[in-house]
Amino acid sequence: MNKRGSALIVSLWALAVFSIFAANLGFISAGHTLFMKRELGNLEAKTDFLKGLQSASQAILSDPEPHEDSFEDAWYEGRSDEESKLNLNFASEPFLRNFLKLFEEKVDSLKGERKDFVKQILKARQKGKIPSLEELYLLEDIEKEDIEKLRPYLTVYPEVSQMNINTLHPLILKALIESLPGDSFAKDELYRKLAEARLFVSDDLIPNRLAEKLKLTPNLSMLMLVNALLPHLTTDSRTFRLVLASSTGKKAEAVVREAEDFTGLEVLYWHEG
Amino acid sequence: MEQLSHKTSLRAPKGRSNPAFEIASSASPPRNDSPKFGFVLVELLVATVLFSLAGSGLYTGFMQGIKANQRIKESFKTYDPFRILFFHLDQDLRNSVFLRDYPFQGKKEEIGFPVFFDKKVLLVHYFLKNHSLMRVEKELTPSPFSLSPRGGEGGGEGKGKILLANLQALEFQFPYKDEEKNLTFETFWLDEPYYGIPRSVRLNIQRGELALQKLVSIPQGRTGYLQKNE
Repeated sequence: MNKRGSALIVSLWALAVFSIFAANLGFISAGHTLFMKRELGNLEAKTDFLKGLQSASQAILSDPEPHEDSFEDAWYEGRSDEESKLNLNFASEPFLRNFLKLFEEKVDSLKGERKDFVKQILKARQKGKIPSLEELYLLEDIEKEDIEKLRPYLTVYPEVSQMNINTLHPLILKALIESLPGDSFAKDELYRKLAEARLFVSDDLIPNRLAEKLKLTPNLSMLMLVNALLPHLTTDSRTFRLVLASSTGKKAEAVVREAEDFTGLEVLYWHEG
Repeated sequence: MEQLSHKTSLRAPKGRSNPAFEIASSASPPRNDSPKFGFVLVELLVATVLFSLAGSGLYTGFMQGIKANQRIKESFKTYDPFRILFFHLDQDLRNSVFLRDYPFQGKKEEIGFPVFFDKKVLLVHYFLKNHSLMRVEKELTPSPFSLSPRGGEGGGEGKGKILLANLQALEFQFPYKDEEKNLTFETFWLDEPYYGIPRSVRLNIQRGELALQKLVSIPQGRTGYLQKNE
């Protein structure tokens, strides 16, 4: 009677050993599968990025009015233009100073000194065009945290100094107007009315037309201010920032520019997370 | 008999008689004193056949699993170092950035370029040393040293590791278009004129009997232009 359970015990032991062996095998295989899955995921992400780039290219290049860009355009969804930002390669010293001051007042405080930031940007520009925002990480007296905070407002990519009045960030517009010569009342009025109107076509960017459209106070001070402002403005954006997401959860950020012959997009910046 | 009557008393609830048991206990005399256990021959045969079938199926499946695992292991052992190298190379090249003081440097057996990754600017260098492909990275910081031209070992020593050892041959190639606009790959990336980051980097490796080629496409890169005399 005592031997009746022996077969069961032997079977259970065999099953236990077999299970451990099978689990080990499964564990090793799972590791390998995970590695291959990761590789496959990378490949899938690259394909998705390419598709995203093609779709963005199609949306941007099929714009019926390529010289009149605003956030109301179909291409604007999920994208942004670099002409809506402060261009570090062209911004004047007062413009940079005003922007940083307004940034600290309205958005967030900076760790470093504003004057140091401006000084370093101007110094970097003496060597030629700043080719990427990553170059800021190599500048002395500029804090890494400040670059991260300011990054969404800054660009180096458009080849021209003009910013798109239709998409320009209000903070940058205000900083720009305040950096121009003229009296403060006229600047306040101009900023207020520009911010209220906000949808312009290229024909509006003529002094008299703009003054008429915005119903500006007709005086010499205002006229001089409008004349000083208009060379900085455009309605045409040619450089765009895309955020591409893949089905695997990977993300990529790209800055693209319409090619000279309008046949496609030229990638100026690429970053994969 | 005593046993049987005990069973009967167990099965029949108290106060109730069970006619069936009464009949059985009185009509069937015991043939043996000991109770009967075990299986008949047919049962044993069926059980043996079933166990054999299950066992052989399990064994075949298990052995196939082991063999497949061994094949995978062998394949991984051979290709794993390449996979790791390609993963690093792909990630680094696709996140390469334009920095004026650190232009992309490409030669037959080495490449060096700045990378922006994880909110850090790194200087990454791949090179062949003692038949091993090394990857060295160092963070570029705003120090006077880090602004020295590339090749100057400013900013301290970087972190290095061997990505692939025992190499017979290694070659980096870079894309150019010639005067007829044909695409060719050369083992140098020109410093003068400088075309920025190359549109792609092709890597040819030979290790043992295995010869592999990997092409990494760089979205932000450019294709060089090569005149015949270059």
